[in-house]
Amino acid sequence: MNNTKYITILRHAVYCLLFLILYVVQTVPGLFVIRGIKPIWVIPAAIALAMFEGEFIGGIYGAAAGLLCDIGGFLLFGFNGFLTCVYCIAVGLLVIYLMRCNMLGCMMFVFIFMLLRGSLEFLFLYGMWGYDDVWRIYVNQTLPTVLFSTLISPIVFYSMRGVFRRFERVLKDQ
Amino acid sequence: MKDFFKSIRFKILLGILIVMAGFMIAAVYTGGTASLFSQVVSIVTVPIQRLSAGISDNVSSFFEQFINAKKLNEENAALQTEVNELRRNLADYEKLKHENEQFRQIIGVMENRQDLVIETASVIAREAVGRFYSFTIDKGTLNGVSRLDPVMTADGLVGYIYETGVTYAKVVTILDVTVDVGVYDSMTRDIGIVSGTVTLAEQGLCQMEYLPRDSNVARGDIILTSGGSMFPKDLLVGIVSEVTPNSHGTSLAAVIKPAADIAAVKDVFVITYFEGQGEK
Repeated sequence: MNNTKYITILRHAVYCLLFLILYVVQTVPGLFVIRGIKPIWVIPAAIALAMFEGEFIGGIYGAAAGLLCDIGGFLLFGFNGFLTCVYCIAVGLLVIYLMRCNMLGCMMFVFIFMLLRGSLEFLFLYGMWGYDDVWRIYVNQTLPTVLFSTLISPIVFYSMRGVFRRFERVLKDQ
Repeated sequence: MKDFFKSIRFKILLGILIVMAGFMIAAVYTGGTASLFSQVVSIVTVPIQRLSAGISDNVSSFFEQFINAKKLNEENAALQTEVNELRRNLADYEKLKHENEQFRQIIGVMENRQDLVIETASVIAREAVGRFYSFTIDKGTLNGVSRLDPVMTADGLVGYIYETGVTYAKVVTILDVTVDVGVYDSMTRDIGIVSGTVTLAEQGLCQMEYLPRDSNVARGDIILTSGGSMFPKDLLVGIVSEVTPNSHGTSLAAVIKPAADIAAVKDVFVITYFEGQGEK
């Protein structure tokens, strides 16, 4: 096996490890909780990765990130995987052909997706069943989670950029 | 862009999307059983989550004593007031004696419940957008945990198992709007259904519905499970904190403060078997 292949495998191993760490951070009870609201970490990570690595790698990690969210979720398993995969492909293509890859762009992508995902989740889990005062869940839980996840996205963006640039440099030196 | 849609990469991504759609279709059929993917991932994540939850608990308890010093002082003052009030209530000796006997009965029932098979478990995950304080525990089908098994703490009923994996299980709580628990009031023997509402769940409370209009249910009454195929009889659910007529005025509804601290629960018991449990 030549060095380039070895570095590529190592790069993806690091990405997988990062996703695993972020997933644990996301689900561990009591960690990064403000007034009962926790941010979602793995989806901003997948979006940031799609911005750096493009639509193909982004789509694959997007699917994986979505499936991780599906594990603890109450919607059909695969719902988040499908949605995140499609969105990360779109983000990858947008960054290649139209937009710039920067932190503000990442925050915008995260906000739009989290809002879309949160709204769909709210609709399927609560909205369509007509429970009393169901809007309170959207206002007190869905929207704050969207905002919290958007606010933490720069941390994830710069972490992913750090890993990406480090491996790009190593590959260039080959 | 056109090149992308003709490329092999696009076909691979399309394949992944078809697999995702397949997962969704499979989930419809398997119901409460976790998918193969989540079972495999859980083998890696559950031990890490268990370790992280333990570390997180210890670290947060250490810092909480400093962070919450002011809150503890306030709580201390509030408790002092409560103690004074309780001292005054001591005069009502007969009532307390009666209540005490009832508590003893409950404890006795629990101690003599030979039919309950219990599995201890720890909370390892709470999702960012958790459904009414739902959580994941570190025991699954390998430990004999099945879908619909009741989950409780030493304090009282928490909920039931919603979905099982090999090494983990998801728990929905009694604060969930979809959960219905058959219960009765230990003082008046009136029966009703405990379920969640969106507004009460925010305060960590739930509701006992369908009480007769002439019911004598009062604040402070103890609510226990009435038994059936889903929950064993006489599990402590909570204490009545308020009684109000329902919107139509045809029956009463009581606000219940669950005996278990559902939002902060860390360790639970899963009742994997009890006499009369529905077919598994």
